[in-house]
Amino acid sequence: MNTSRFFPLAALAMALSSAPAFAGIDKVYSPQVELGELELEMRGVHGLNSSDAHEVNFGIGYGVTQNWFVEGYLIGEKEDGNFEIEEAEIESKFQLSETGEYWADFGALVELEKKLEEDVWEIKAGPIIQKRVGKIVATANILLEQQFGDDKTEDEVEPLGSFQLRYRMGPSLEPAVEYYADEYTQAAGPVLLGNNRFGNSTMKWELGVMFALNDETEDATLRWQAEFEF
Amino acid sequence: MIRGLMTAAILTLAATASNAMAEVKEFKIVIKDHMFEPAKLVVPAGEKVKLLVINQDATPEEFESYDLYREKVVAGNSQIVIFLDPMDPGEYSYFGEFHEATAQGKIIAQ
Repeated sequence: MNTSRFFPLAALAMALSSAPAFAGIDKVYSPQVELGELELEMRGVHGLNSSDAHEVNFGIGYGVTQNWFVEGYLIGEKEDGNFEIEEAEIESKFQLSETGEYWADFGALVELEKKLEEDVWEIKAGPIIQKRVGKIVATANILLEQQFGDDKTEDEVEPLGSFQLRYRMGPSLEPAVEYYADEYTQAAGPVLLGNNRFGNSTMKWELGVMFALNDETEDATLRWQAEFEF
Repeated sequence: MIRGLMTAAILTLAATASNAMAEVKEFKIVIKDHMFEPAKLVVPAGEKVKLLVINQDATPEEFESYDLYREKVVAGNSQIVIFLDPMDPGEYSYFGEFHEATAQGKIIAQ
């Protein structure tokens, strides 16, 4: 056997197998920001088929101004071993236009993520676009991702996107379909979104299943989110 | 596909920025003693309108309406602008989330 060929292939296979097969599935951000809103958030993605891999984000955020929302996350993952907090992230969302001011509503998202035990930094940034037609709300998040640091695994700027079509059926329950894509992942599926008020607080939740559209993606991935706003 | 969508999004943003906003009719709502004045505001149906919401109370209020798809906080003793999409004739409810017992209002499109 030609070992000089074998080892790079094996290393590539190991690198690919260590990346969750649903890494591109996350959430779809809306462009709106609320001044003074305090938000506690948990969201996760769980592989439903071949693996027990899952990822959970724990976040706390605050609406600093009418146009700027900042949120910090700790991100835990379980791939082959135990569930561990592996990354920290800070993200800023900017509302760039008043809702309804133009033919669509615009925002921007900037995320900075650090792997806690490796020298890998990742920055993601891009526009959020939302358009409402009657009871249908279409939202797109289109981001560019770049890694930095000595242990980085990607040199190139990578695009990733998420899209949601939501039907405004009523304030407490809305059905939607979502699509996610990045360098490896491509998935789409149905989502339910709920909104329950308790006095001046609101609990928002999302639950969906994304089905693979390519061979690299987990066949089915559960996506969930619970958000408390004060 | 993603790169194409990114290009389309950037072109859209540029087109929007260069497109002067059409003239929209402006209406005023005042928040005082945790109530909206006027509590019923008549606006033209079928066209976008601009609401100037002036909070004369010292405490913040949140203008919220599922019907109108709007949710925005107005700090105490300050004001905000809310654009409403063209509406079919009818009544559209809104309320102040921080003082819901008294802060209730309707937009009447006709």
